[in-house]
Amino acid sequence: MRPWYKNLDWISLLLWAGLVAIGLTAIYSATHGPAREFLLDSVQQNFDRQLQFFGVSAVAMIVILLMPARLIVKLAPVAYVFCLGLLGAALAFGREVNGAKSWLYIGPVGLQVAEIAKVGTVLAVTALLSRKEARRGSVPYVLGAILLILIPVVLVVMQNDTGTGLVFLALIPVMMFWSGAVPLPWMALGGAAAVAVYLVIVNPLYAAIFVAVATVGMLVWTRSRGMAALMFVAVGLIATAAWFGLFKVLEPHQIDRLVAFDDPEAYRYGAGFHVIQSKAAIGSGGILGKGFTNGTQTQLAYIPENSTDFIFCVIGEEFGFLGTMTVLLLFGFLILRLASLGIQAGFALPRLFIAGVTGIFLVHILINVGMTVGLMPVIGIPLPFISYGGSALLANSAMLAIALNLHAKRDDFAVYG
Amino acid sequence: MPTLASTARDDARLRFRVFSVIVLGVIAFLGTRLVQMQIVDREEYATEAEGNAIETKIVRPARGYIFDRNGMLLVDNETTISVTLAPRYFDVANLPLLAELSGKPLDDIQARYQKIVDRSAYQEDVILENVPFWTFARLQENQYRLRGINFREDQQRRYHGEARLTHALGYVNEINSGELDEMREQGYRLGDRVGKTGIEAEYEAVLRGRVGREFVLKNVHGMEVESYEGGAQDVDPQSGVGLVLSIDAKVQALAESLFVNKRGGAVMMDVETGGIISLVSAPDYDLDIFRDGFTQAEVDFLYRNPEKPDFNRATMAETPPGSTWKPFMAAIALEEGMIAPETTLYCGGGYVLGRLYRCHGGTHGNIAVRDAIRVSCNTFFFRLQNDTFVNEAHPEGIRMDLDRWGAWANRFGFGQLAPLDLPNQMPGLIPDSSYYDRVFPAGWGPGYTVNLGIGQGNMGVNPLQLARYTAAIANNGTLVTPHLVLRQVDPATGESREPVRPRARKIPIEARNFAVVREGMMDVVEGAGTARRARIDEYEDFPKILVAGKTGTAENPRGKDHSVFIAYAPADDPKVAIGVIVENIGFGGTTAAPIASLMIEQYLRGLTSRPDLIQFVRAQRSVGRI
Repeated sequence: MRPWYKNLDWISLLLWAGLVAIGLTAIYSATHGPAREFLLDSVQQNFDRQLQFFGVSAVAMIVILLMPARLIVKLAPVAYVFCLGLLGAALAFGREVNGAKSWLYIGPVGLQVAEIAKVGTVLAVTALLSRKEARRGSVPYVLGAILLILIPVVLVVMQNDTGTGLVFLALIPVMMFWSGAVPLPWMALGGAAAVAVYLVIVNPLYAAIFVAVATVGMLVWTRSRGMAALMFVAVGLIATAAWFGLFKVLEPHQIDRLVAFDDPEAYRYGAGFHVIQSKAAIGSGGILGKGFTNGTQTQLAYIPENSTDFIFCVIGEEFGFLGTMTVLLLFGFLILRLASLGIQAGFALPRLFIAGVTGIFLVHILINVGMTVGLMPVIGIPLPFISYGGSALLANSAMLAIALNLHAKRDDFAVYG
Repeated sequence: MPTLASTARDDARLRFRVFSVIVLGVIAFLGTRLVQMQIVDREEYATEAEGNAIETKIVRPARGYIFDRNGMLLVDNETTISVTLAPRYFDVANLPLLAELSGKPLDDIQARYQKIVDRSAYQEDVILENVPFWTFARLQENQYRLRGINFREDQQRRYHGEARLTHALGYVNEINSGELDEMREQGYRLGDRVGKTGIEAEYEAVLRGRVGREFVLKNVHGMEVESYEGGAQDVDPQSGVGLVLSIDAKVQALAESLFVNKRGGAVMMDVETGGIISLVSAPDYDLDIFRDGFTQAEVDFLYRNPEKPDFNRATMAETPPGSTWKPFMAAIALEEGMIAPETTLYCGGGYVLGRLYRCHGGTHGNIAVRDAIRVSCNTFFFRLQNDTFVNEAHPEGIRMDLDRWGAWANRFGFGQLAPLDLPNQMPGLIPDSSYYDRVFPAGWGPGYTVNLGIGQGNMGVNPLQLARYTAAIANNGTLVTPHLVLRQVDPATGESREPVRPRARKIPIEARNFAVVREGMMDVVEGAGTARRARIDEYEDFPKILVAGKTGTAENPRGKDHSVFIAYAPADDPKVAIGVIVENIGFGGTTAAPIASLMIEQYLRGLTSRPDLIQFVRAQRSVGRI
């Protein structure tokens, strides 16, 4: 048996360090550049606090990596209940920030509990779904897993943090996909429905074309007329319902935030303002960018929240296409690397946990970057490891450490014995 | 047979491949967008970003100075200082200190502060406009205690000398929205001051100079952060061009003082060049009221006053010329060959045309043109206007019909705008037959037009036209181009340049005919005529100045008659011509003639020798309502 640290995947740790370093650089530029004097004192401190949380996260990762893997699995229910407790406490005693009651203060340290709750939730769902029964498609197990996810979703949405709730929800298809509980064609149906709704917002014609192509694809793939028909009818109905709901039933002002990304000029002085400014920042960066602390959009405060949700604009404006692609490729590399580690581990538990973690990262990246480049609605969720946010950095680092721990100590689990 | 473990593993590998495709798909999706935004359409987004951040600030140049013909400074600029406040840096607790230092009530300061804050929590704005120097000094001394307080320099017009020159100079005031729409392309911005009337408006383009531009970076709150590229792209402003007027400030000041308590206007011009030496319109007002903003009383005075002080009577009046019209009639009748210099017409004390049109001063008997001008015989000129003359030149007979009369009036510049460098002008009224058809739809005949022969009835002229017409008589028929600006002076190089003006017109009347008219006009003043008050006798070392002129009394059916006088001098070598109209004051020889005489003396001698006459004129006033 190789000692666990020889199995530890240093490449993932390097990627993590790279992303955090890029994040710190961008936060420094956003808070210590010429823009500094227009920022609130609390925002000016973002860089220093992120640096401190970087240290805290590193320590937490070391502690987690040193823990026995079985202990982590055993602690899963405890962690889950603890996380629910945190969410409940935030609702009861939390402080409201930007309309969301998602902050819990312990002394001077504020925690965004929804971020922390991701760790416990992924752990608990993983523990449940990695049972043999679940993998054979036991309905009670699958429903139990969905329930485990829905409870924190309800609590997070009650805190008025819909964006994070959405990320939790995304865990359901991700976990279903990887657990093997749901056959792939059914997963494809769900995925196609999501894509169709997105296309309805962009252009209903694209959505119609997509439904047709998906139906044919389903027929070719499964050779089952039933599945193909289901694809056509179900996805078609969902797309039509979305079209009706968004453009016929709801008033424009109700869906502004949802559809403004597609035509920000039409909402220039409302929901579209951030999108226009954000796109102007990234687009004007060009290939090489305007240089560290030289972005006019960033430094003249045209981008709101540019050390948190809109941090990608800072990278895009000051480091250009080189910077943005570096970030995307680092993320892609990290996610695929982790997923392959899950496969390599050979067990359901590490694989499913990593599935949850990479799923969360992927959703965050898609929505966060998508929103800054005008491909996704403006939903306020951070970019993992890069956006300012101590709780998120800590939680994401902890999840990464757990994944690496489960992978490195895979031999602690005996499959049949 | 695959084992359970190996199926599970294969299944996982399949899902890993699917997942990889999804991950790569997401990265490709976002990456493609980044290629499109950051590489393909970069320009477009860069324009948007620059439009955000780079603000062009207009730097106003110093407005051009204005001088009189002798180089006396009439108008320059003074710096005004406004105090600005940047809410983001200003401590509200300092408001009382600001109030104390500026000497303004705290309530006022608080109200203005609130306005600024309501507008924007970041943008710097003016809290105290146009502060006196001592306030500026005290605030500046204490600036270290008043973070967020700053000063903004601006300029406004400053007027010098005794002459007000209200209507000639015109005023400068803040641009209004209509003007802004028209002039925005020339770089005008809200808050700019532009010439509204007079020289200031006519020469706005040269007086203003070239605006400079400063490029600054501003943030999302509209605050200026720093200069763009360190000011490398900035353009310095160029001061406006200076103007030298043909106005003589001393003559102007004297004329204005003579017009006190009167309504009317006077124009004096150089008979050869048309340069306007004096342009008076009364009542006038001090252009200083446009400094430092208006009080309500000033607004009322300007715009609600029935005497319309803003109305330029010198160029916009439409008063009948009265008997000052007679030299014109004489000149054209001689030229048309209706009469010869020695032709006598009979005056039996009036002219019968349906009714009796009376002559003044009883009967003149057989009278020739020269004497008819001297004694202002109405009958003589009624005859010129209405009789048919048969003589050697016109065996078939000739009559001064309305159109022939009107054409001559136009040749003398009446009934049309003069090519003068002032925007506010009216053409006056020279009626033609269509005019009478319109005004008297029931029909009209000679009884309606005979009055035109003595400058009464349905006609209107202004002092500018009278002066120009008189100049033409004095210079043998050159209709000069009147102008106020002699030359433009480049403030940087000192080079001066004469503006291009329309050429003078020639009136087709022979010099000998003008000579006859001039003899008559000289008799009016120097002989036993109607304007002996206009004489300028020798004084100390100055020889006598011969003056030729003609009085007029424009009949006013609604009030007292208007006093009119035209003159040129010296009669033996004409230098200046003048037209004066004083409303509702009476006989032409009593008011208008002495005014003209005093102005002529002031111009030719540089002084006036007749304090009694000045007193005599000043004591008179226009009566009644307009």
